[in-house]
Amino acid sequence: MRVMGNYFFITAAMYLSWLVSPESLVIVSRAAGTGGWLAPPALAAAATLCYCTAALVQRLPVTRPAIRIILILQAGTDLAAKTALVIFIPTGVLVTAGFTFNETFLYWFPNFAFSAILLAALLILHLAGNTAVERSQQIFTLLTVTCLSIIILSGLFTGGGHLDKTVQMDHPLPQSQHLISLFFGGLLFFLGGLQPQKRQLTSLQLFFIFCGATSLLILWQTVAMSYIPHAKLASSTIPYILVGREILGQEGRIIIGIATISGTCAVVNYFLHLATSTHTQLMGEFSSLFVTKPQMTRRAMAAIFSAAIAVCMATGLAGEQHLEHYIYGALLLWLLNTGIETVLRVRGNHSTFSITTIFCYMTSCIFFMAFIYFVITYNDSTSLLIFITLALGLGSLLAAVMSVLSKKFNRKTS
Amino acid sequence: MKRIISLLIVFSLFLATPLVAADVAIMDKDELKALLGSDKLVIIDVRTGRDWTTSEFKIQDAIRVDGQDLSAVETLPKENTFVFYCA
Repeated sequence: MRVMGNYFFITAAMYLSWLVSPESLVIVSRAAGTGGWLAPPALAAAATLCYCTAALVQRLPVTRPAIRIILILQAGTDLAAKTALVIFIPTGVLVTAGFTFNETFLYWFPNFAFSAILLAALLILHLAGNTAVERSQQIFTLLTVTCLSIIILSGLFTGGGHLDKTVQMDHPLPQSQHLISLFFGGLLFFLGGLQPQKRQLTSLQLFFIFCGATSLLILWQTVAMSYIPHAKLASSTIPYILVGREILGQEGRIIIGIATISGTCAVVNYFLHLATSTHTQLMGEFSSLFVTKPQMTRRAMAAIFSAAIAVCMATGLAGEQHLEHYIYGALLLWLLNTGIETVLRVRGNHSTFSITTIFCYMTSCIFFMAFIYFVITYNDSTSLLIFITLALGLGSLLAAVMSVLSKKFNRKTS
Repeated sequence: MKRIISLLIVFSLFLATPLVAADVAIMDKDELKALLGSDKLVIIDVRTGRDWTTSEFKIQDAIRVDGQDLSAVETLPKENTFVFYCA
């Protein structure tokens, strides 16, 4: 029972880390700015769909396709999605944390050095082992959620917002299309809850996690819209700082600063955990060589990913507009991969059609539609498509190489 | 012991990465403060990407120019003091 309870907190800390990261806070705040009071219901609808799907598929393992070429393509998508996630989002958020530390806490401390220290510390956690990763994840997420809750509660109960809530935004899109856009955007927040897990939660535990996460984001949007004019919220690149500063002044800046840094640690820790787990599992499926030493493989993968992030930071990728394409592309690849995995989990474990299978197929279709919608409506679709195609190509190539090597290795050892 | 040494090596490698960008002449904020208000001072903010978007502070009256294309700066009188703010 204690182990199960502990696992609930670990899973909650993992799921929530992406939602409370500075990257998500920007997306959710800007959605509130552009969508106004349409944003919270759209987010709730996305959360409901993802929760129902997660409750149905979380007990099902991912069944790999039997045909080798399809297996390679599917594994390639998985590798591409997780690798893009673990390299580009951490590059972006670590730089954000560096600036926050420099501008909020110590002006004389170089922002880049702080980002590098955070990355090194997180790598050390991963080299220390899974227990250290899981324990630290709970601390990072709890600290972030606490800080955000202080801002939200202060915003709700100390004086309240002073903006006219009846003000309507002039949307560049028709309202129905805007609602769809907000709903599709909401799906991106809950992908963590749909990832395959080794241990399972009950539907009620899963409900608490989704419900808590959604409430936190909706309350954040409500407070943000009450204190910051919609247009400013929609156009700001640091809306979370604006909200914290507006509600609690200098103390708010400090609290948001702590939330930004701990949220960064939580999301980088989570993506390193997610990517190393996926890569280790895939390598194990391809070759028995990696099954015998999974902890060693995980540590090696964590070191490789951290080195890749360090190279991206040192070469100034964070100062380039390309990083935004890569981050967006990584999120879309995650969405696409989650859709594919949902299909495979249902198809491999249910031989007949039922309400469950139809619902899960429908969710996957919505994910694929959202993927296409985001690619088409992105302001630089060409760059985004090139990135996604390259990532999928490289992922499939890596999967093919692993497949060929494993065949040779398995032949030698048998 | 071997493990601790390995961890320390990894840590020091990460700390060394900022040195890659250290070979640049720097003006500190006090020097800039002393110049503020001068008609001859032109502050050019060449920050891009996240260096610009995630920073809370923007310098008042600074001109924002793309660091890859400084043609706009070439049109300004050369007797001015140009301060480039890049990070």
